[in-house]
Amino acid sequence: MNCAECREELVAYVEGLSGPQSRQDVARHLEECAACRDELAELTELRDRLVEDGQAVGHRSLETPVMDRIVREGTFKLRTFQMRKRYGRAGIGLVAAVAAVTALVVVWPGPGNGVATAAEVLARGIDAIAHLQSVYIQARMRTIAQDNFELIGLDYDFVDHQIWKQFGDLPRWRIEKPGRVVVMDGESALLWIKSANKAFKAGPNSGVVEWLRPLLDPHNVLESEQRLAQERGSELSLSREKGSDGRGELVLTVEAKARGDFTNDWLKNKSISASDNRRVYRFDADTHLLKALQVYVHAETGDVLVFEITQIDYDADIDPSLFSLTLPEDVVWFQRPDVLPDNETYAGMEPDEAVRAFFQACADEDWDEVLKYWPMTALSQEFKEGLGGLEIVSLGKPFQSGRYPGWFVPYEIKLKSGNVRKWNLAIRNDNPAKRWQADGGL
Amino acid sequence: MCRTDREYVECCLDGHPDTFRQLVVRYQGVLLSYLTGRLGDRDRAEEAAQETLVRAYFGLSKLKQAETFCSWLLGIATRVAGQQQRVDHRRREVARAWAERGPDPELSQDYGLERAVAGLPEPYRQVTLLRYYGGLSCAQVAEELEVPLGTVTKQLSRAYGLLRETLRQGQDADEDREVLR
Repeated sequence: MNCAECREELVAYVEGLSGPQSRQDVARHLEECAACRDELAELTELRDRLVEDGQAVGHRSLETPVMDRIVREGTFKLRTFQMRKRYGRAGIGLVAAVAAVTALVVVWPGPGNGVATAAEVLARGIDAIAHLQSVYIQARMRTIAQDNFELIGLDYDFVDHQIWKQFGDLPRWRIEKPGRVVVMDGESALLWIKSANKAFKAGPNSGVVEWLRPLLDPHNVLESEQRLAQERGSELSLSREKGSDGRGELVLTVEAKARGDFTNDWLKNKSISASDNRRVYRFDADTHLLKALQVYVHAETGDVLVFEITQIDYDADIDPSLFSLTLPEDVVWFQRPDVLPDNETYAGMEPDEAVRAFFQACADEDWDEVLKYWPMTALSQEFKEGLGGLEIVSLGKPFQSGRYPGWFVPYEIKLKSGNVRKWNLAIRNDNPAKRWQADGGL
Repeated sequence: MCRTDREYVECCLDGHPDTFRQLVVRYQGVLLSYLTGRLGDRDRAEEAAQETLVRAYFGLSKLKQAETFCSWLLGIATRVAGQQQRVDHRRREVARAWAERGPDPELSQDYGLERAVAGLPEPYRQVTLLRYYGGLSCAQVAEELEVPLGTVTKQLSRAYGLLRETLRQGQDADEDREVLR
């Protein structure tokens, strides 16, 4: 072995990586060559300095400060984002903003777009929406086709729902199930109950679609759920999974408790908000757009799937005619009760008195009087034939349940047909005239 | 069990973000050394190393090939150090503007070895950092970088040569300064 060959092998020799033969050759050459021994001594000294320096650096641990900072920054980003969203334009001072954002749920901020902070996902979702033209959703819900959009029943069959949303300066949308449709044409929302031929006109932000409203803005569901978490204490968690189609998904899971007083549990599990439930949102990891949602109610018998999105299409062409609704000429309109000349007679009633008076008017077929308890412009022939001449069997003690602002009055009536109907009539007086109005349960 | 950088990164992205702490432990020495060499100050290096790791965490999905985590991380560290140096430069400019004749701040004269390592061209820098500051054996470095062991020893050999040259030049410069004083 000559000097050049020896020096080529020296690092491997110092590192103890030489093979037996090579090691022997190097050792033999070193015995004979002072220059290569000097070279070895310099290399060894440098190696020792590097090892010593590496060990000194290794004593400083970054693990705790870095991991703490990741969690802290994730939360901070979330807070900053929410403050900017809520107070930035309103000009409310930072102190007020900070005070307002207190009970935020800490979401473990995952790495990158894999499991970024909730705020990052949210921000990207909003970026994505900037280019969205439309959303079309197919979903199914355990409910009754003609009943309100909030009603669920754990043993009801699934009813198909469709949602169309056209974004733009004047957003328009339509939500439909077999018995009901709501269309917002950009200025006002029109609800039509098909089977009863009843209609109701409301502002663009009315609550007629209830729980489904957040789905009109699927890019905002995370923000909406974060707000609910703040206000109602639901728990959020975010994780990354691989979807059935092999694509990455960000999964937002919300565990929410039933809201309201269920001393009487009549309304328990009759809507998603009145149930202990888990909502599982799945966002595409790349586009950050919502791609699926399942809602499970935690029932005594186990979890029951009550709602799920079965299809969601972005930027599909939507027929503009879907955003207008032509009603039948004989449609009956909902109306808010006016203050009557003898308003005190009605406003001074107790809930059960009002229910008795309502049924008595039906029994007497005094339809003008019935309309004082029934928030419509007219009564259908079906209504008159069904309830005219009824007999009041009994009325129970009024009760309240959940967050319903009115009362429920148990009743048993015998119809002219001979059928007996036993249920709870919902009645409320939260209107300017303070008159009791039947609201459901007939 | 996760072991290689790629496995750790994939673990993180697959919904186990806490796995990132393994990468912190693995690369803290590498970053501290590299950034000390770049910034000439151990405390500022520590701040920059933290910043680098946090940025890496939040940008992990942008990493196209998980096995290149080390060089990607060093790239982030280079940018962080560059930003820090620009801030330092601006501060010095402001200080100069206010001082009639202020001393020229210089990088600390310590940490010559780190500076020499930080100044190595790739791939010699990465191999040296992983071997001596990342606590990996040559075989582990080879596995991590997915290159033959012989390549690692050759690169280390070249790195040694470059380091000695740089350190010798630094020593000469120091001696010249002594003479001039």
